[in-house]
Amino acid sequence: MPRATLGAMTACVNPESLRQLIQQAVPDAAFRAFSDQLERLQPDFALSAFLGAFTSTARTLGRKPLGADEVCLRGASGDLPLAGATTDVAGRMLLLYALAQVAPQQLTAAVKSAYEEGDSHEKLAVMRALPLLPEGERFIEIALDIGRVNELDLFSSLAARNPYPSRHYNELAWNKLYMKAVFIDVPLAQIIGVETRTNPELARMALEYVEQQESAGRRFPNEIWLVIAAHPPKGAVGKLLGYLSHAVADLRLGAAAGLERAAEPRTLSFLQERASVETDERVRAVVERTIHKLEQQRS
Amino acid sequence: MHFFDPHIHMTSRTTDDYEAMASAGIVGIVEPAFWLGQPRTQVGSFIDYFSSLIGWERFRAKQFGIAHYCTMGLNPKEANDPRVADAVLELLPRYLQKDGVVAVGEIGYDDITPAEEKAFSAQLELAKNANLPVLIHTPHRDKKKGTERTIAVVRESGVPEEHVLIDHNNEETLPLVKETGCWAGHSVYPDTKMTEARMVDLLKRYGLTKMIVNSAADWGKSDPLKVPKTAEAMRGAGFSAADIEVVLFENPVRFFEQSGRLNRGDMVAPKIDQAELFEGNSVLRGQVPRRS
Repeated sequence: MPRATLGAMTACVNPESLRQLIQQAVPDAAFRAFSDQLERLQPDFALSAFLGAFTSTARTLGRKPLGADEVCLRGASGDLPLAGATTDVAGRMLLLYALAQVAPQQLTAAVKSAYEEGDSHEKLAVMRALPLLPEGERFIEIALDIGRVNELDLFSSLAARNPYPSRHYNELAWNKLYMKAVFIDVPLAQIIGVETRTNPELARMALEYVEQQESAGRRFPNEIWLVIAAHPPKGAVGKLLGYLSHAVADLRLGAAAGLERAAEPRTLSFLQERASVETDERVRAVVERTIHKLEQQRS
Repeated sequence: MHFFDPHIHMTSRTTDDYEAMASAGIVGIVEPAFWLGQPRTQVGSFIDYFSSLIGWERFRAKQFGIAHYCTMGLNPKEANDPRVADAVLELLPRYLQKDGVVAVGEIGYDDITPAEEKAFSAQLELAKNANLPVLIHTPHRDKKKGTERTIAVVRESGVPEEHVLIDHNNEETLPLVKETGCWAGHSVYPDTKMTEARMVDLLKRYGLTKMIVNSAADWGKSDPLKVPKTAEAMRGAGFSAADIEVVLFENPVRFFEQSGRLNRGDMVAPKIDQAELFEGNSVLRGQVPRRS
C-alpha cells in the first residue's frame, strides 16, 4: 500500500501567510466574517470573546481542504507542513498565532482553555498551532495529553507532520510517541525529526515490536527498520539480511533500506550476492547504492 | 428507508445497539444532555459529561455510520441540586457554542419546583442569546399541569414557538401543544409513556405536521429501535412511505436544522472506519475493522 509522505515542500513561509491561504480557499463573505473576528483581537480582548471566535471558526470558514499541501510554515518550534490542512484548522491556527502577536501575556491561558474545553476538532487545531507559538515548551502538557488519546486524527495532529515532538520531547516521551504511532498505524514517513532522534532504546523497542508481529503472523511498517538500523541491537542485522532474500519484494525493499542505514561492512558480500539475483528494480537500486557506499568506506 | 432518532441517550447504550440501529436505517440521532440515573455531586462531572457528548460519543456513533448531534442543558432533576445547579448554568454558554450542539435541552419541569422554574427560565434566555432551538422535557407526574405551565413559561420567555419541541407527549398533553406553534415529541417506550399503536392513532387524529417520534432510550428498560418499529406500525396502518419519511426523518431534521448546525450531508452514505480509535479506546475488541 503506498503511503503518503512529507512530500516535496517548497521553502517555508511566515505563518501570517495563513491569511492569504484562507482567503483563497473560502468564499469572500466567509473570509470577511473571519477577518472581522481577527480584527477584534486587541491587547485588552476578553478571553471569552476569543474562545467564542475560536469555537465558531468551523462554522465561519467550513471544513474544506485548504489546498496548500505544498506549503509549510516557519514556526518557533520548527517547520510545519500544511499538507492535509482544512480551512477550520487553518483559521484556528491563525487566531492563536495572531493572539501570540497581539496579546502575548494572555496566550498561555487562552491556549489552555481552547484545548481543555475544545471538541476533537478544536483540540486538533490547537495541536497544529503549537509549533507556531513562541516558547512552545510551556505547552508540553497539551502535547503529552494528545499523545494519550487514540482518536486517529487527533493523535496524528501531534505525531505526523508536526515538528513539535522532536523539538520538545525528552527521550522517553519521544520513544513512547514513536511506538504508539507504529501501533495505531500512523504513516511513519510523516513523523518529523526521526533521523535526529533515533537512540538505542528506541531501536530495542522497535525490534521487539517487529519480533512480536512476526510471532503473531502480522505485518509491520518497512520504515521501522530505519529506526532499528540506526542503532542495531544484537541480531538486528542478521534479521535484515534474512528479509533481504524474502519472497515478498516490499519486505526486501524495507530490509535493503535498513541495511543502507546500518552501513555495516560485514553485510557487503550478502548485498553483492543479492544484487546478482534481485529482480525488483527498487530493491536493486538501494542494494547497489549501499554496495557502492560500503566499497568507498573500505577504500 | 432512513430514520432520525431525535432523542436517545447513547452514552448508556452498547455497540450492539449502534449496530442494530444502523442496520435498521437510523442515520442520525440527537443525544440530549440529561441525568445519568444517579446524582452528580460536582460541576466537574458535568464538564466531563458535556465533553463526552461532543467527543467520545460522537466518535463512537461515527464508527457505525450514524451522525451524532447533541443538546446541552441542566436537566430539571439536577436543577434542584444546589451543589451543581448554578455552576452548570455558568458553564453552559461555553458548551452551547460548540459545533453539533443543535439545541438547549432537555430542560423543563420534573417535580415542578421553584428551583426547576429558575433553571428553566434561565436556559430559555440562553437559548435566545445563542439563537438555538429548545428541547423541553415534560414531567412524568402531574403531566398535564406541567405541560400547561411549560407553555406559559415559553410564551413569557419570548422564545419563538417554532423553536420549541415539547417532548414526551401523550393523549392528554398533545391537544395542549397542538394549540401552540411548538413541535410535539413522543417517546415510544416498552410498557410506559407511549406505544407504537397509540402513536399511530395520534398521527391519524392530529396529522403529521410538527409531529416527532423518538425512542428516548437510556439506561432504563427502553428500546433504541422504537423509531423504525413505529415506521412498521405506520406502514401497517396504511401510511405511505412519504408520510413515514415526514414524521420519522424530515420533521426532526427540520426542527434541529433551525440551529444552523445540522448538516444533512453527514447523513448521506457516511464514511465508516472502525479502525479509528478514540482516547485510548477502540470500540472493537479484536474484530476486523469494517470500512466503507
